[in-house]
Amino acid sequence: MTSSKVAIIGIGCSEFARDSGVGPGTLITRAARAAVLDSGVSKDAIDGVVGVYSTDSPTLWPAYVVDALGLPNVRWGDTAMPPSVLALSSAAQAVMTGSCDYAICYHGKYRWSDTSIVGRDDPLRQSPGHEFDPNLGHALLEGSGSLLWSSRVMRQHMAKHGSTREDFARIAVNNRTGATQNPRAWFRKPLTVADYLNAPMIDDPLCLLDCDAPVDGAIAVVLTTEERARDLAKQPVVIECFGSALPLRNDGLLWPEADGVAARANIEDLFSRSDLNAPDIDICYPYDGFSILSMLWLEALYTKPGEGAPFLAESWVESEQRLKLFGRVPVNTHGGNLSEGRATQGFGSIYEAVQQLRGEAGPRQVAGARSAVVTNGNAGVNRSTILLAS
Amino acid sequence: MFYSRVGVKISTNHLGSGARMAQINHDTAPVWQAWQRRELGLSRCQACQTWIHLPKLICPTCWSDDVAVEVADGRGHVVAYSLPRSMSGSTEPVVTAVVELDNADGVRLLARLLRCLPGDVTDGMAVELAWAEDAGVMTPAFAPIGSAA
Repeated sequence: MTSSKVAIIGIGCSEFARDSGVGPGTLITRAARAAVLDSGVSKDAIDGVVGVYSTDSPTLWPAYVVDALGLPNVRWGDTAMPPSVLALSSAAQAVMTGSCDYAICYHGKYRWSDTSIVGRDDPLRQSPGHEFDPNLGHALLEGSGSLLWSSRVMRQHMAKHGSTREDFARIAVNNRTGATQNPRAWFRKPLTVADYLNAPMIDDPLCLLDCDAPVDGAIAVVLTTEERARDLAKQPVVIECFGSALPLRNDGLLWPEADGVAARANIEDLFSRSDLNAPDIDICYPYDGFSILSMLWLEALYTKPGEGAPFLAESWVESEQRLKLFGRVPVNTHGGNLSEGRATQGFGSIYEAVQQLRGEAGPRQVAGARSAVVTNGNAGVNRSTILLAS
Repeated sequence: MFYSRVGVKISTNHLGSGARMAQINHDTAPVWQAWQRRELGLSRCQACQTWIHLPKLICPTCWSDDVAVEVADGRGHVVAYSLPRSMSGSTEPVVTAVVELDNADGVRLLARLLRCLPGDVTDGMAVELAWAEDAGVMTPAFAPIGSAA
């Protein structure tokens, strides 16, 4: 079975909302139910459950999902760190090795008391006390200073490479332009470069519109082997390969240059396992938990270090308010984390890429799209993947 | 004291631990609220009649969203029990039991057994609903049938 590739055969999501009115367990259950129904596989056939749980435990354990969906035949359960493509790769490898045949893979986020004002004021949103975020305060002994590492990464990039807020505005505006056509996105109002430049600073130079906002929500996919996938009604989307890299200095809090180094190592690793090269890919989904991360992923994919800003400038289509790399490759067609919110933590890109490669993206459809690259995460936690239309 | 969006009154003093607070969330609050009224509310699917516990908004059996809180009668029997060491200072014997309800198929609750000595508990022992109040918070407990004063 190890010669086979793995395919995504079902996708599902909950609503994405600032205040969903339900708990994280219900959000995950809704997403997983939708993904199984979309796949056409019976619930008795699901025998693997793999999810990102560490940010929002304990209701998001695989065992919770097994119980909530009443899955009687699960023989493989596993968890993964955020962001979401780590769970996707764990699930895919479980299918690849035969540990399970049909795996649900899920990711959810929730506005807990320690991540949002809504959460803080709501006694039904008290954090379970297991909040985990890569790079945020793990073993740090220093007691003061902003843990928003990405603001220092952004400032260093501006100082070293001459990038400006106008350059980062292109990322935020491009994503929002995609989101105007995406009913899943929480932020759908069109955005201008001027809006970006006038946005309040969070941690100068990082402004409000550089950040993915806390949003409730969950996404799930169902995976199986490419062979089994051919028997199903929906067009499978094949996972070409994964890439991941943890370079020596991989803590962005202390090494602001680490994110760029890690992204480059990740992309090199990713494409070393494919016959495709980055410019061959039809749609690009650079991770955008913060806009600076998108800048670094785009550089890792397409340019030398530090040349992202001029690359974005030449890719900018003013009349459409969006990026088209090499005059053809759209970026974050759904709006990214910046528009769908932190609920998705990169899994929104997987969902959107599958819709695009199936030809189900409606008004957002990129004609003839056959391949997509999805990058995820930052220095300490990163995983990227290439998806192909079958 | 907090009043949440759904109108549930929660005293932080009584629910000091983060773990306890996290258990009472938007999925579980309706059941918890029923318990505060001394009613054994449980999630139940209105489409296929499955009783569901722990509380959920989607039925694990038929995947319907039509799940409501219904009140169960609280008759049950002991499935398993243990005798935890009591908190320091307390001499009251404690029995912790898994109780399976007789009239709510598949539902098991973890609860204290009241009005019986540890030596008197047997597996399969028939029990009925009692309530344990701890600093104003009501949780289901059970006691041998007919043991009420």
